[in-house]
Amino acid sequence: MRRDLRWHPRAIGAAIRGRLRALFARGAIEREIDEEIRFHLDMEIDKNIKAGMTHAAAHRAALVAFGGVERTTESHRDARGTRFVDETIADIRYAARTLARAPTFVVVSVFTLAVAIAIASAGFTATNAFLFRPLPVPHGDQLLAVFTSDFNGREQHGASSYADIVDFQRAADSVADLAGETRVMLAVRANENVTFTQGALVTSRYFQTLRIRPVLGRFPVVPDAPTIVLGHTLWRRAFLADSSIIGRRVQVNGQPFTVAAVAPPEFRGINREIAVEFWMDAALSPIVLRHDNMVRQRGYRSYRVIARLRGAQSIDALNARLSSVAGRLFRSYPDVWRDTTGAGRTARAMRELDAHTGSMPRTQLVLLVAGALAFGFGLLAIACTNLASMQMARAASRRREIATRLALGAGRGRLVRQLLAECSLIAVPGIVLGVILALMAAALVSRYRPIPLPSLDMNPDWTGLAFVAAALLITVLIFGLVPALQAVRADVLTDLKGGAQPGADGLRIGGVRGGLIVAQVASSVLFTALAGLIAFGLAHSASQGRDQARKVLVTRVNFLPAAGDDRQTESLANEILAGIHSIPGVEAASASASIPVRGARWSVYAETRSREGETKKRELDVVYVRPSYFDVVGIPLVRGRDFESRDIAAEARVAIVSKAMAGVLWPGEDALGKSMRLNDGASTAEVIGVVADPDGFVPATDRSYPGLVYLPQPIRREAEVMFQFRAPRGQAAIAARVAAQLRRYETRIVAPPAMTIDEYLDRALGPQRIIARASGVAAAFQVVLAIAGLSGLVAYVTALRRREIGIRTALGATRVSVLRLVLRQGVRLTAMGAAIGLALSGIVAEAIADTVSMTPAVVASGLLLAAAGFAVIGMIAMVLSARRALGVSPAAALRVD
Amino acid sequence: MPRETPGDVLQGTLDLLVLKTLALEPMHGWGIAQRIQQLSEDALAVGQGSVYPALVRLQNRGLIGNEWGTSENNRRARYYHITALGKRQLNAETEDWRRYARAVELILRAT
Repeated sequence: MRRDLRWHPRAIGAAIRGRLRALFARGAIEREIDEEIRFHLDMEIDKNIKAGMTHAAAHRAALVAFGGVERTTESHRDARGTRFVDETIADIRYAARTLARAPTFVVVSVFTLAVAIAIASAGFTATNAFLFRPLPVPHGDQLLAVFTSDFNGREQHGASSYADIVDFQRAADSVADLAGETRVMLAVRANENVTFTQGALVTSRYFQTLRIRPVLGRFPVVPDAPTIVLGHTLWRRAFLADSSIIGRRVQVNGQPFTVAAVAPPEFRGINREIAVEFWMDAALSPIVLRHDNMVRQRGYRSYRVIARLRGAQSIDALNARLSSVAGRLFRSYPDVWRDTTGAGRTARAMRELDAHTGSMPRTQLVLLVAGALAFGFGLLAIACTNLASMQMARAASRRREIATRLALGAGRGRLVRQLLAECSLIAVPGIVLGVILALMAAALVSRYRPIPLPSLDMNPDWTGLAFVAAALLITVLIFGLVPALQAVRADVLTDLKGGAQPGADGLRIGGVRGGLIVAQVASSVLFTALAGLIAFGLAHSASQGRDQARKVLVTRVNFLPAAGDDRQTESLANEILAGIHSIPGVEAASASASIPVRGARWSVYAETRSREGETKKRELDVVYVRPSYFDVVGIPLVRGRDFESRDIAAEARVAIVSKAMAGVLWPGEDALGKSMRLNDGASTAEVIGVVADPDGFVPATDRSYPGLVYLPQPIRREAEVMFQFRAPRGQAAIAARVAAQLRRYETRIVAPPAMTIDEYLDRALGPQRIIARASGVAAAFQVVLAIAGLSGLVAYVTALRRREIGIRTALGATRVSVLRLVLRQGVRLTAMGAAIGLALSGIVAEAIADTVSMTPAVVASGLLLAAAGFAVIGMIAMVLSARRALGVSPAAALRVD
Repeated sequence: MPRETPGDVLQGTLDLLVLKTLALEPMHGWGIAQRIQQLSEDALAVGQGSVYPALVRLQNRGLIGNEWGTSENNRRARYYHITALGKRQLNAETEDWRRYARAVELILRAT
């Protein structure tokens, strides 16, 4: 038909209706065709019988006239235009049946993919929130940041002082709302719980400028009474989300405050890097902080300033006001607004979001996000590798099937589509599950804020999520397709004849295939080593000095301003320590600035003079301790004497060194009586004692020296000190008595319940434990998948060499030589992968050694064990799957079918 | 399974014949096949069954419609009818066909 009404609207409507019906009412359509054809044949048979034929003849004639019922139904299907869909459905069914035979593999692959996507997209959301989203407050995109520059304008994003903010507010009042925030650490006590936490001092109009609404209560407007606004996390943690909290009295640094409001969960202050958990008006700070420079000193620039324009005011109008007030301050306060050359500071407002990205900080959060992204993409790479290796192994064993189908005339495109369906069956559920996980995680995070995340808008970003999912889908399909395409490139003739015949150059495992196996083995070894190393390191540090650590209780004491001046604080510390010592069961009580086994470590530059008269300057690990510290932690004094109270009171310049340190500083000499210049002559110290080396002590870095220098610890006000006391038995009862004693000083100190150093270290090592567990899981995944890959490889080689093996066996080859033939490739690839994995682990191990105590021997044995362990497991797997090669009967192998 | 469908000319002719048949009265598949067979043995050389794909094609182009009805011997049968669009297409096709046949006729007569 040449005259075309094909594009007539009604024709198009009919076409769409027809195809939709064909797709969704397939069953009904097939039944209708059957009925229609049956009717047709019956009519024809009737006609034939009437024309005088026998029943059988009539029947036959009808069928002949019809011209093939099957063909008609088939061309009927063609005419319906749904062949593509039908075939796709068939592909998926076929793929599902194939995958159902390897359920473990499917579960592991889908799960790896899902976790990878969830982590990658969480990292993506966090990055996005950190860098590109406004603060989670109403109309956060309209917020401005106001900065005071330094004199030469090099630092544009400088903080401001409280006094300056008051002047800014006054000058800009008609144009914008303006407020500031600075951070403080304060102790908040509710009933028996004391929380020492990060909070913020804010200027008036802070909450009004941000326009956030409290979950409970009302934000204070004027600081006429001591009130505090609780952050959502603090409210949940310390007050168990008590909804009757408003108006309740709490102690802040020992002073009574009233709870005015509870902030919404997503708001954690205006600093994106550090979360705060409560807010109070800066004007109230003299009540809780003795030094009032946070409020009174114009030169004390610690406040971040935000602003919000009023009505239709422009940022230029605000900047005009700010520069005029800056000019006035420049004239009025030359000492803080002007340097000696006469250059002055400037004040400027810009969009908060721009200012934030403009001065990208290298904070831990950035590292965290980068780490999450790297981990996510790493997992993804693994997931992709696994998919690819699955396809590889399967393609290998299906070479003949594929060759047969190609020979029978199947299009290569058709075969690719079928292999693609198999990939999709893993990729699509993996991605869907991953997106669901990501959404759930985002919902959890934005609702409950389980981790102390700063103010970040963590709502899932749909475009971002969609983009990630789509990109991943494509990546995964490509990874799955590469080996699939290799398989389809198969040489029909060779494969039909029974497999590639290894030529003179031996059997080559394609670059992609070999690379995949190597990558998989490498990542297995890497993750196993990582998990093993951390576990080793933890066990190692746990076993070292563990007996002592179990006998020592520790509590981290913070001295509050009410403790008085330095002298009063010092005597308070002595009083508390004496009180603890008097508890029956406590053998000794002391304090140190840190716990030197792990974690925070101070260092000091020490200059010493050797026997030959040459001076040497070194950076040494140092611990500040109080008298009887060595009795508490069970380190015996070897020579000389311990620190005494009078040393501390007189600020005597004395030091104690450990034996190893004495050997470093004065080799072959008696350290006692020697002196060292500390921190470029800031002070000197005379060695009054030598102690044994602490068990399990490892220098903080490669550059530090073994052993420790101990210096006396005077307690200054607002100090944080580790109170430690030796109690070999009945620790729970003693800890309770200590807590009761400490409560007597509650306006002057904050102290959490005491625990053994053992427990304390356990908690401090939490993150490392999580990493160890995560990499343990990853290692398990990897080992399983690598073994699958290796067995697949061996199966592949066996399949390819079936004929050769048959001939060799017929000619009398031994089992060993057959095994060698089959395993050669796998062993080579495993060795390569293991070598790469070991090299990578070596690099990673160095990074871990910084956080987990580990000696080189531990590292080396950990790495070798991981590699050896994998090699053994890999060999077993390969030999198991090679058994099939041994079972090849010459007769069967040589038969050409 | 052969994917080839009858050549375009044949298929086009068959579609035209089906349309023409249905222009006279609504009819079921067997009836259409009978009618076409009576009129032209050749068009259904591939078998009566080839009427059915043609019916689907025409329907997907909105040229015919169908509904289930009762046949002359009291059985359920699917009856096809021509649509307005179908009539327009038939007229146009008939016109084209005639012009084409006349052209061929003229050429044949000339030589």
